[in-house]
Amino acid sequence: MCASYRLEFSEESKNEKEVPFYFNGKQLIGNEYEPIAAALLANGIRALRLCDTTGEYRGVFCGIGHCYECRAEVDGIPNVRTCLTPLTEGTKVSSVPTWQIGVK
Amino acid sequence: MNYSVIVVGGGIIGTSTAYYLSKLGADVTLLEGKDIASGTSGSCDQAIMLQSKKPGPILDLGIESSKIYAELENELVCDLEYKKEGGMILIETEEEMEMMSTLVAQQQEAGMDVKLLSKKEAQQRQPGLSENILGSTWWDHDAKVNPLNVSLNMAKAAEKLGASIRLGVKVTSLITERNRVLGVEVSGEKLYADAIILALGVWTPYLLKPLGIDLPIIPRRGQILVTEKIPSFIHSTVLNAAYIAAKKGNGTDSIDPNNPAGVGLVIGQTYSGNLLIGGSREFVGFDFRTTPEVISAIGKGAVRVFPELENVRVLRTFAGLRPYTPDGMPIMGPVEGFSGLYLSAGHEGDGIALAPATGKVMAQVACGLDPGFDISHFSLNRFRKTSVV
Repeated sequence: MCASYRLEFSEESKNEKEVPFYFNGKQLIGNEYEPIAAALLANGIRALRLCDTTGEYRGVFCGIGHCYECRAEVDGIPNVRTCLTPLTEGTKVSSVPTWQIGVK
Repeated sequence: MNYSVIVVGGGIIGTSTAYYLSKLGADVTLLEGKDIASGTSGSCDQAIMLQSKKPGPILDLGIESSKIYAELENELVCDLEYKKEGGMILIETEEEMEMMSTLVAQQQEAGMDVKLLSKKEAQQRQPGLSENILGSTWWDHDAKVNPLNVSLNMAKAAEKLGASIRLGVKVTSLITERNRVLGVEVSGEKLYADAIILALGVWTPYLLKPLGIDLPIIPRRGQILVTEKIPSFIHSTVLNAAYIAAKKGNGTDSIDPNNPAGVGLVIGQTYSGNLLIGGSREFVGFDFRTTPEVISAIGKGAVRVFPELENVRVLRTFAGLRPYTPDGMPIMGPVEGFSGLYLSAGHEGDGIALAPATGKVMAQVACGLDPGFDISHFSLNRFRKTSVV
């Protein structure tokens, strides 16, 4: 099931290596080393998390690392900006932080 | 009572004093050059740490304050983010163990039930602590509070009782007549009162210089960093012994060459989940900047004792100027030779912990009442005696 939201207009884009990754436990496919946020958008996922205070959806806003709206927990590290972080095979992205301190 | 008092300074000391004066029925005017808690009281941490204080007048004032703090939210009907969840001082070296054992013994002798904990006991009390610590102290009576909330709510409560809170009003000089202080001058306007209380922290000396009084209060910079919100894991206030050593470092001439910026660890978690991590003690005049060297040293200290903080981001940093005095005690009380003038400044890093009792005591003193607390130790005279030869 390849990303249906992707514009396939160039020859190069066909050469991208597709890798599996996970969003909230669900396996998806993205292009290796593209921003995690881009891979999620290509899968039709716009809401990355809920706002702590209002409970509203939050997703990519600026796309260049300034606004911190697109943050999510990535491979166990909370508040990672998905718009700046490259996708690698098996990356685990989570809307709800699971990281805790002092729990061994 | 038609007794009028002007309080100069809208930090935690000034607002607390204004509140207790209003409670006594005085006609109170609080003058603040900028905004409530816009200086030192708004650029500090949240600790109400009593076990870091040596037994003596400061600790006594601290204990009075902590009794007031425990009831203050009910009294002012507000949320001060006050929590009494204890405090610990981490011990990382044998030298520190010796220093802290001595301090704890002194405190126990003075009737404080401060305990020394083994590494294991410390780790049980505080999750996430490194394997490399040797142990810690523990005291149930340490607490924390949001200093901004305290200052703002003290000012509000004073206003409710009839006090006039004037913000953005800078006092330029004191109005004197022979050996009396009659009032203050604020950008051309003259305001008169029966008593004037100066509570401007590091800025207090400016108003006294024209009177020929050299007030020994020097700004001492403390840098603090704020992290992103993380899951709740620190409930108490955590210090390290290096913080206590830096605090003791008395005066500009006895700076530790191995730690010139006086870096020590004080770490607490706010209601919203951010960590406030300090601090430093530097004599750099009125310089509010933070420096990469000190911020990085503070961060490293935090990661040394809490290794899992390595991946936690710093959101911002800030610095505050603590009003240092040469003997580490505030200057409180009337000023000999100038009737009508009172001082309440120089609490250095103890202002938050000491504010409620300081305000209460100074309100009574300025109204000519018996505060039931001996403030002679805090008199300006202790410095004047030694300087007059």
